[in-house]
Amino acid sequence: MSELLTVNAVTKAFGRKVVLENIHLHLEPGRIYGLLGPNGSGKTTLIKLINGLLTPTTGEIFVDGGAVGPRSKSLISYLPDKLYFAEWMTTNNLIDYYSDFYEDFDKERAYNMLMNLNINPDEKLKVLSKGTKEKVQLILVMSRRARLYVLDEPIGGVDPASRDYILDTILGNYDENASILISTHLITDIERILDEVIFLQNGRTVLSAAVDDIRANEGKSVDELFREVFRCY
Amino acid sequence: MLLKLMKHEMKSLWHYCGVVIICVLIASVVFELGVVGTVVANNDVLNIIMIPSLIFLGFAIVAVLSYGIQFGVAFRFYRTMSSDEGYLTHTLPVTTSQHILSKLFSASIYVLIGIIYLAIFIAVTALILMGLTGGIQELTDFLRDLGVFVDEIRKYINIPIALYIIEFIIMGIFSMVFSILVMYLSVALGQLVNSHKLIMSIVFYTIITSVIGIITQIGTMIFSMVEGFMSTIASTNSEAMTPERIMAGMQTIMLVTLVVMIGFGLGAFFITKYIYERKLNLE
Repeated sequence: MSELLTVNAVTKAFGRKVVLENIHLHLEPGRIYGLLGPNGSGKTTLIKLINGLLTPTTGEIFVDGGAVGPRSKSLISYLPDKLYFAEWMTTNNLIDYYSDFYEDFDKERAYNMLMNLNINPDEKLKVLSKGTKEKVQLILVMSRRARLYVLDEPIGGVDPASRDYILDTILGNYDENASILISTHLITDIERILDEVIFLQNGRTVLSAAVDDIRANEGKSVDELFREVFRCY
Repeated sequence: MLLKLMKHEMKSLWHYCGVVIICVLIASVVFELGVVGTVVANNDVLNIIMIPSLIFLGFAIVAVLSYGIQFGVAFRFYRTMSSDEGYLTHTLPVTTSQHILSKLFSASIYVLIGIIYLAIFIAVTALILMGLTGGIQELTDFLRDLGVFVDEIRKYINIPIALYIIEFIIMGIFSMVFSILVMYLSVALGQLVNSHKLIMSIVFYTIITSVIGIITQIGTMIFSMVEGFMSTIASTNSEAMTPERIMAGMQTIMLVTLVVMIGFGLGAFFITKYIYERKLNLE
């Protein structure tokens, strides 16, 4: 099967500080990947590199065989770990914005999700709570029929009651041939949806395996294995 | 994509520059009414209060319009390219050139609106003052003097006056575009620093404009020397400093400034593009 994302020997340094070192990653279509690791392990940096928000110090990244650029950005739907919309905009403005630039954006899907979460699209973002803004961001990201969804902490800021809805939203809105790369600390919440996991520690890959293999070979859940690998002494 | 980017850019810029334009519009109406009221009332006591107030308000309008829009343009560029909003900007499926050009074209339209408004504001104020103090005669005299001035200029330039005016307009447009590109370059350089990006952008802007100022002066001196204009200026012989030579010298200065602006403008564009393409640092 052709690779959707190839991260080839990527190293990223900020000045003398090496944040990622010799990372190799191969994502195939139709799978859900968990990018897991403690704070400062380099998850967000790796995600930014994949999305072209940072450039690798060394190494290469390919999305569907092409370098990171306008084409790869049209294939990836990215949810950052922070709010990035201008506060004066309404959700309607954002929907127009997304549908103008992303050919794969499904307006109807977006409005359905907004309705399910009782979010008024006419309200300006500045009057919405932080959690609601995060939901709006997720809705916009998941309303695209993208090839790869890269979600950085998608459930980090929302209440536990909404997490299931969000995870169901993620699962229910991606196409069979698309893949998802999710970075999170809340492993228990997302474990049920993951096919594969990648553990990062101090900027290096310490494990890359299928969730079923972990359960079969280690006799542990991903959460248990995570706690064991990243135990704080 | 460029048109779509421009559409959203114009809308976004309105949230920064629109406030400035609306405030200036209101202030202008107050100013012009104040001018009319003061001239018509012609009261000494009122004049003591109104004249300094109107002078202050007039300068405030000019300053807010000149710097307010420029600040809005620079701040909008910073917000969308180097701050958290950059996460959206830089993940759109468009090229960096399209981003910069769409912002440049949209910003130019707002700056141009500001310049045209400023010209109209000054002209209206002058016409009101002349009309109220001297009546139609004053206006007629002014227009006649203006015609004489244009005729004088025409004598000393070796190109048609219309072309000379076009040259000035082109110069003005290039100057406007150039100043925007310098702001963009400053913001791009500022984002290379990991912290205090906004302050660093201002520092870079100060440095770049100072360097350009020095280079323009040096360039003008060299060109002037080549044309012998410098010798004319330095000469104590007053006959050597003819209006024709002064006009020729001015044209030389304009040409040098234009060449420097185009050169630096292109440089600023490509360096900004390179930084956002290769050195993007959204930390």
